[in-house]
Amino acid sequence: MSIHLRKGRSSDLPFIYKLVQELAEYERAADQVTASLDDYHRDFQNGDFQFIVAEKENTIVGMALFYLTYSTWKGRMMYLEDFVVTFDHRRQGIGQLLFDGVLKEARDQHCVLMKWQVLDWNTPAIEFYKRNSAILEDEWLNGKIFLNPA
Amino acid sequence: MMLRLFSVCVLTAFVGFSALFAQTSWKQRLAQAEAAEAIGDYENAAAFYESAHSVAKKSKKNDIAYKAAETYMMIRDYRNAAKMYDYVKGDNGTYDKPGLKYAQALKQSGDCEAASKAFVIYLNNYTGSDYDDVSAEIDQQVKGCDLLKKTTEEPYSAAVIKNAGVVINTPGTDYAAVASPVDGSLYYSTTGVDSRSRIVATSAPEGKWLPSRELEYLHTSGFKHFGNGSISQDGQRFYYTQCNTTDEGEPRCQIFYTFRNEKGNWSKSRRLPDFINADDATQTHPSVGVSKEIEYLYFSSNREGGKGGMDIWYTYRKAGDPEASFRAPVNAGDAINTAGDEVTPYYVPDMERLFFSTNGHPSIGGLDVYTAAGETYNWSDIKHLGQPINSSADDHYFYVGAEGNGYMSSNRAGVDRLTTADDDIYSVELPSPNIVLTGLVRDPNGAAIKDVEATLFKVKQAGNVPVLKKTFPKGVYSFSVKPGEKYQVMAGKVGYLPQPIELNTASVPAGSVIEQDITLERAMTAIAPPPVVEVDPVVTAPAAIPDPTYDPVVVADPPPVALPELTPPSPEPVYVAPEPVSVPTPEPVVVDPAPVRVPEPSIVVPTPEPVYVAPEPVAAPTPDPTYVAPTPQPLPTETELPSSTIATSGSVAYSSMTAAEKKNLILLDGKPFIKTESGLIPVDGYTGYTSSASTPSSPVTTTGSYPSSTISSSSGEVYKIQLAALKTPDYAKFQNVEHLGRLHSEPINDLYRIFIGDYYSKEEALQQLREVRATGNKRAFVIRYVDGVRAGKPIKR
Repeated sequence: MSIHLRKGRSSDLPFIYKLVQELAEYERAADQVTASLDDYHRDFQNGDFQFIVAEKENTIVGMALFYLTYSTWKGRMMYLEDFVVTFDHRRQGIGQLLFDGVLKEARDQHCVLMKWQVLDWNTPAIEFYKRNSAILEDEWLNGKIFLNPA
Repeated sequence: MMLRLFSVCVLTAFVGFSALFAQTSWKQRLAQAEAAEAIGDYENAAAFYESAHSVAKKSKKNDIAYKAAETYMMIRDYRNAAKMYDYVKGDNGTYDKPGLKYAQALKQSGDCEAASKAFVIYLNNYTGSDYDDVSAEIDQQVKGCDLLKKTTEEPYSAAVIKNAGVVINTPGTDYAAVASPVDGSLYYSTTGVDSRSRIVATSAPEGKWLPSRELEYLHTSGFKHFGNGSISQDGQRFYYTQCNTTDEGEPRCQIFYTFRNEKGNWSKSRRLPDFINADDATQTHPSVGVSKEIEYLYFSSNREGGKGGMDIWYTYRKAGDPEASFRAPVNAGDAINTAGDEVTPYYVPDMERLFFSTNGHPSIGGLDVYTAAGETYNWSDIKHLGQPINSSADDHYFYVGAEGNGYMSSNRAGVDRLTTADDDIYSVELPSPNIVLTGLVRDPNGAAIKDVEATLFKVKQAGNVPVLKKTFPKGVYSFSVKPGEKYQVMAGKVGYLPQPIELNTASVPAGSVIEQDITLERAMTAIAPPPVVEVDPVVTAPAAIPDPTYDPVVVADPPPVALPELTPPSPEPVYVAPEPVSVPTPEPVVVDPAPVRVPEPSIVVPTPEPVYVAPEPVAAPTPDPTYVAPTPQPLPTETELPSSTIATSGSVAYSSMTAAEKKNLILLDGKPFIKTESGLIPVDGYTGYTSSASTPSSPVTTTGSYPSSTISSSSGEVYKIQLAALKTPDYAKFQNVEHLGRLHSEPINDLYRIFIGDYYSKEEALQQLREVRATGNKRAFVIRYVDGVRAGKPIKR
């Protein structure tokens, strides 16, 4: 096992994009990925999101993508948007390292809360979060409106 | 991949018998050499080879010289190795890069000048297919020699390195010394008893080391060597290695640990799991440190997937729970690890600094000690520690305790030692370039106030600048500060009135300790102005060296402002629904550095939904008085209060105010005050106000200990990071950097320059600028101010 962690760079974005698609496939929603790699580049430059990557033999095998948001009740909050370890590299502790890494980033950036979503049928992920003492809520409905670009 | 001709192998130094050469033929001597080599007795092997060489027939001389040189290199006798390589240095066809090894041996024997020449001569004549690798290696080696010319940088050049003496050091290899932070016992490893490495402990109850005793209970059957102890800060956990050697003579170490059980005895040894103690690799040099409730274990390993040779790795687990499991190990990354060897990590959580030894970064010979700031896989400020810590020989196992005293191991030749053939333990004393402010914080009965919070401020004309806030569990505050400055220490705790003391270090020599106790009165319902404390500092001589940090008063990093607790703070007691009126959008205009730049996109204030539905009923929770709001609420500004209402002395710390008291905060000419029955008391540590550095305002006259008598130009040279120039001094869009320093602004014409931080050197400012830019503030730049006046051009890198 030889894991290297580091903060994400813009040169990683093509891999990240690929991993996002891989996650979408796992979640059976690959056709719903409509953001482009160009969007990723522009928005990363703009500081809209951050990420950390796990590498093995100079290949990215996992990543966690997150950004700062705000809780009116609690204050600074980190939102973990995407968190994926490639299929062949699961069950090696890489996901735990990435999850710990995001929590640490959130603490270092003075967040008091971290939130994320998990699909209700993703049992391995749910078990993982439970092992990490996470609170999983089922009483909230997710709201969203798609906006057409101006 | 760079070349590495010799890898680190501490455990291969075995103690041999002195060689006696009878009148024997070169063949007999050669046979004796080979026999000694076969059993790992390289010391005798080298001597026999050299002796055989001296009488061998001409056609065999070179082969034997090369073998002698190689075995001398094994026992790190560089001078003799160079002497033997000299015979064969040009014969690349027959031997493996003998000229390169010759130059390396010269360098490690301390002759960098001759070594540099030999490196160049070798490269000029080298025609092998790996020319590029050899060239890169030589480049690195010569670069290392250049370090000799500039290794006088403070503070490490003033370190005092002393051989730990004959009670500790043996004719064998003595290494990995660490002191228990609990009782000062010294744990170290030695091969001095026989050829096995053992972990021993000793203490010096009367200032002299007692004979050491072996810690046999650490042994697990099946292992030959024991070494590399590391003890946790609380003295509760001890990590170490148990090792064997492979048939090829390579060390194979595994990391074990033991912890103190309920009775205070060491538990049975436990082995770290397989995913840390990898097969076919060595895992060694554990270094344990706890930071933010996480126990980090740094170690070195040549496991698969590293950068080459030995690398620094780390793993971690929850601190305080003996059963908490470790995470998969992670490589410490490219900034630390090279194609060469990185070994003997020592991590200091309080300093957020790693010390390690390497021959892959430029070195003045063999392994040299380096330091890096950061943690886990994020590192910066990688520095060679220079002489006298580093020498032409191997310098490793650098460790420094809380008192600025530590140990290291080195095989340097010196007054006490004629050869470089084995390691000795050396004591290390790092003279502090700083002054320590310390004292007990007590209640009116004289008892220590436990878990007292104290904030160190730098007293500036423009106001107090918070430097560091810490909680002191035993009630003894301690700050390391620079000479020639004015400081204020504000001690406080819930239920007590905060109490400031001021200390001037102008005429105090570096290394001194200033002791000043603080008595806190119990808090009443209203805050009375605290009395001025007469400062009569007890200055002791610079003998005590209380802090290993070379420059802890770094305002840039860690962030100087009081940080919010990570526990979720209670929301504000009154929930105010957003105004259903659109807020005027400030139009940010960037005017500096270039006169005209593309304006940043306007901040879009979202129009509230027509019907506001509160997420949940709002309870009015109890405000947490210790919580420092990250973004203080805007304050009412009063500018025409008569100065007679201002308190005559004292100030209070914002951090120690309750939420109710914070409601009475006002801004007066840009400075925060709290309204009390007895007048206005200045508030320290409140960062939500705008200070104006260059615009003269009507002075607010105060007297007593509050330092900010006027809001005028700050004195001296500072570097600021300018984030933007805006029409209104609106910090809202800079929330993502506010943890990096104090946000403040300066009016110019009809704009406000927005800054973060004040730094005392360009380097500090530029280092922080990288952090600021990493948060997305790409246009930020550093600008110098002299006596409050902008000086020079924007510095962008």
